[in-house]
Amino acid sequence: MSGASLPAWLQELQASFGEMLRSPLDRSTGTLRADPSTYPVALLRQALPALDLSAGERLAIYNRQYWFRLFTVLQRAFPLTARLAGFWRFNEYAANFLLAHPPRGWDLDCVGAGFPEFLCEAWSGERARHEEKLTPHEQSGEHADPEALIEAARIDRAYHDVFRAPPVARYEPSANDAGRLPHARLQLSPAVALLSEHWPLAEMRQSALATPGDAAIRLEARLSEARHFLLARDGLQLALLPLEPGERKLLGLLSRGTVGAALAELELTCSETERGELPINTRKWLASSVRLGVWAGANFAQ
Amino acid sequence: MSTPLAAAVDAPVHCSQRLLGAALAGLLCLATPACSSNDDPAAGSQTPTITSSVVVGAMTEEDFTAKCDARAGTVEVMPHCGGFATAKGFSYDYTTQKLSEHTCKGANTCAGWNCAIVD
Repeated sequence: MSGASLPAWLQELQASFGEMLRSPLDRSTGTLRADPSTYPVALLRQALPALDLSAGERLAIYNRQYWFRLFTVLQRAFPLTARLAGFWRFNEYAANFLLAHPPRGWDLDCVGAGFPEFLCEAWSGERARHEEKLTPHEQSGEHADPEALIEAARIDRAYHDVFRAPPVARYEPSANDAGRLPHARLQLSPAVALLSEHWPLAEMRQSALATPGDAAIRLEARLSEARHFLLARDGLQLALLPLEPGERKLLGLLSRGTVGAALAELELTCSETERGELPINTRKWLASSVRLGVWAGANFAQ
Repeated sequence: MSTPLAAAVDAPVHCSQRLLGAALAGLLCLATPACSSNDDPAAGSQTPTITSSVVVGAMTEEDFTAKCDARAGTVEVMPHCGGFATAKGFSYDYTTQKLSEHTCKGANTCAGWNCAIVD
């Protein structure tokens, strides 16, 4: 039945029920608690009490289940981020994200889309707060650097997206493509992701998954130099392949612009030391990228 | 008559001709391929297989990387499980402490590192 054909009373009931479901759980006591006083008054009037439960308490069951289900979905989709932040703090950001972006489809697996970007925005001013006194419930995430949490969220999301990407045939350019390749834009396969980390997050993620638990994990020391990886999938298996900094830069440039523009940018921004080896490295890196199935196609209509 | 590659290198782009030529050679896989779909025995190529496997005891990632570097290979990390080797080489499984040589893609063992060696 389409929304337009619904009776008005049913539309109103559904709208107020949806509003009740999305009512944030109260965090002030250190326990997530439903607060029926925030529910729409009309809905409270329509709901009936049963046994020992008031109308508000009955509705609160649905309210809690909505949030607990979605918290669990996000915790599973972002296991490293959740363990680094601590579940209490992670749930706070998850709730804020879900209030701003409530699920609108049937697929729970899509709930986390946009979460890293949301965290990036939310945590951009976090460093000041980071140094303030936190509540006892936030102590577990006290030491996690917001930048590391954002990086962790991107890595978690990359694992999620790469694992769930549809099967894609790798693109292997033919000699007939050669004349058009300089002006073509290569399409990054959805079954790969380019990752960079400034903390040993990929290893920490593996460790966190191997030792599930409620305790927050402590962020390890920042790396002296960023590390870069290609996360790739073959069948149902994932692998992290180390990338050289120049290789990571080239693949990133190629995923955003034409081959010619990417090469020009690479050549323009490399150091004098790198320039001499750039052609031989570029050949090696691109042959490897084709072999690993980094590309799913090329857009020649530039 | 110029080849498609030569014509492409002559195309007006803002990087050096040398770099563009190298990039196109790479994209067109003018480097030696490692394991391709031609691994089908019916096509006359070698069947992917583990050719030797030896228990070598505990090995650190640094030890493995040194061995891989000595053979000009590329270390691949297996965060979930093996079976992802992108080329022939050798792998170390830290659950069995076995070091195995394999001939082609997909033949490495689980849990550890693979060293992909491109001829």
